[in-house]
Amino acid sequence: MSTFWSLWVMALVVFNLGLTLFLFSWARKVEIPTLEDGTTGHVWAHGVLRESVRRLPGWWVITSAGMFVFAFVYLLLYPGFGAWKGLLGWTQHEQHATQVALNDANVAELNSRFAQLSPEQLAANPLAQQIGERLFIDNCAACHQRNARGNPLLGAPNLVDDDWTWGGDDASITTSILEGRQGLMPPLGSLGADTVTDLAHYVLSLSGAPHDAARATNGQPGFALCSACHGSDAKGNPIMGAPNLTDSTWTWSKGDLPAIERAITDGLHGVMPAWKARLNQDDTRVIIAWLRSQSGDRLARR
Amino acid sequence: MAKGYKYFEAIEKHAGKLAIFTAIMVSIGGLAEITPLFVEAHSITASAGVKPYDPLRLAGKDIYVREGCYLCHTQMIRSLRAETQRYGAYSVSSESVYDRPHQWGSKRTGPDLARLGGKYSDEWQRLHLLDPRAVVPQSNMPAYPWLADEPIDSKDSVARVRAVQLLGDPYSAEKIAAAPAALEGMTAMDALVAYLQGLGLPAEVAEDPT
Ligand code: HEC
Ligand code: HEC
Ligand code: HEC
Repeated sequence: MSTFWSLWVMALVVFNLGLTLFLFSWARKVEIPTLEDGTTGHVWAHGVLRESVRRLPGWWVITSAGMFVFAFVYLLLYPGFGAWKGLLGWTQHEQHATQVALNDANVAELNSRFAQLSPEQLAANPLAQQIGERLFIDNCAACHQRNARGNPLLGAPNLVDDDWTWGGDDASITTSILEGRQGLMPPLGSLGADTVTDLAHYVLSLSGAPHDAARATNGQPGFALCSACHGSDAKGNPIMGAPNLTDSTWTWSKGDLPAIERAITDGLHGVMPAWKARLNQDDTRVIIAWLRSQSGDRLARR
Repeated sequence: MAKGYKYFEAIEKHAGKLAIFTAIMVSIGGLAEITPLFVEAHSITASAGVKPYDPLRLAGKDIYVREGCYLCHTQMIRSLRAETQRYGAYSVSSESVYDRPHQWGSKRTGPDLARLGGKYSDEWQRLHLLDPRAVVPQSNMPAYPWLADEPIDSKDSVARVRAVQLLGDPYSAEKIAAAPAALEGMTAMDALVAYLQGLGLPAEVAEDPT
């Protein structure tokens, strides 16, 4: 704050407090002329209401005086009187820093306790579950849904079915979260609608879903193109995030024919943002713990 | 008993005088609190990494204002621990020098958006604006489906860039010359998503603001 504005604020504060204090002490003592009957002569409602003179109640005077005292003490202790920093040296930024440090210390203490636990124990720890769920709701639920069951509109997978596209060990999941993941399946509509439908029936046959057997047979040779990513056994490839097509979990749909045709024709591109700017390893540990606690399959892992 | 009743009488019995003196007393607070900040605001410069909006994002910002997103969303993270833990580093004034009008505020029906950039994918932002319930079933945010069908008028957008240039925001001649090409074929949705995806990004590199 420049000297000019500092003086400006000081002058206004002095003027304001000085004037009100003066009025407060003077006005209480000013004599109000009264008529013989003790009223001021002000009448309302054709004389039905008349104004008499009473002393201000003690509580009112004391409260008002207290406010002046408060104002002086406040301006002495805290910033407010121009550039005067206050005897306490309080600043908003420092208060924030103190609170953050306090919270960080609490969190660090918690995390060091969590670090002693095995992944199974952590997944069973109610406090870790609570923190994990909070973090998940705040950061992940918008795409993966609050119950972590995923959203086919975005290609956001179900995270509690123990079926992982990019790898289901803790390290892979941590990488998925901190670095983000982007699967890219190119559009293959150029194959022609008929071929696409054949391929789609073949894909359905892989997981034993209802399909047209003749068309699936027609589609099979063309799947060589798909195997490059989905693997010759169609069980997927975690390195490029190509999902397993032989199970009945689907990310982008419910696994119906039109949706699979659309996937082949238009391609797919799921975007999982990187969270390393917002979350750290401690956060991902409790998030994963919460996910594990929700999947009901805490032992089958790795 | 002190004298002086006549002064009180002179003011209290004349509504006009009473109003004028009341206005003077009430304005003292404003003069002390608002005037210095108002005048000094002009000397605040952009913090490191804060750049003027490129033409598409500028169009997006104007759509954000037009649609009244600020009625439910703030772009001002306060220096309170619970807020910085949830939303990221607290906002500083030098981050919003190119926001006309600034999008601070205290009314939050939805979350603060000051550091939204990169949190979600472009596709999420589009879906969410088309139909918030498609991604957040509990949401009470209104849908903005018309944005997807509304083309950006590049002549109008360039005029907007020139307007903020006139107010002192640094835009190079090349940048303005390239604007129509950059806006070609864009919709209001594209502009708004581009704006949202850029929110708060620079602060991650900005140094400690004090
Ligand atoms: C913008 C939407 C979005 C947000 C927000 C989001 N995700 Fe994702 N996530 C996705 C998408 C889409 C995929 C699939 C990526 C792909 O395969 O193309 C994915 C994939 C993943 C995977 C890999 C799943 C697998 O089968 O291998 C994990 C783990 C994951 N997300 C966890 C999280 C966590 C934890 C958060 C919160 C910190 C989060 N995601 C936030 C969209 C999102
Ligand atoms: C370049 C690699 C690549 C090729 C070639 C490819 N895919 Fe994919 N496919 C992927 C990836 C990666 C995904 C996951 C996309 C995502 O989630 O972001 C995917 C997803 C899918 C899905 C959606 C699965 C679900 O869970 O919803 C289907 C169906 C599919 N592919 C079928 C095929 C078929 C059939 C072919 C051959 C015509 C094929 N893919 C060729 C990489 C490929
Ligand atoms: C009636 C109040 C309301 C209005 C108006 C509104 N929103 Fe929202 N917004 C919400 C609520 C509530 C949420 C939280 C639920 C959700 O994600 O949909 C939200 C969430 C969001 C989010 C996600 C933030 C996050 O970090 O998860 C974005 C982005 C957003 N709104 C953008 C906008 C834009 C852009 C506009 C103007 C076109 C807008 N909102 C108008 C209420 C509103």
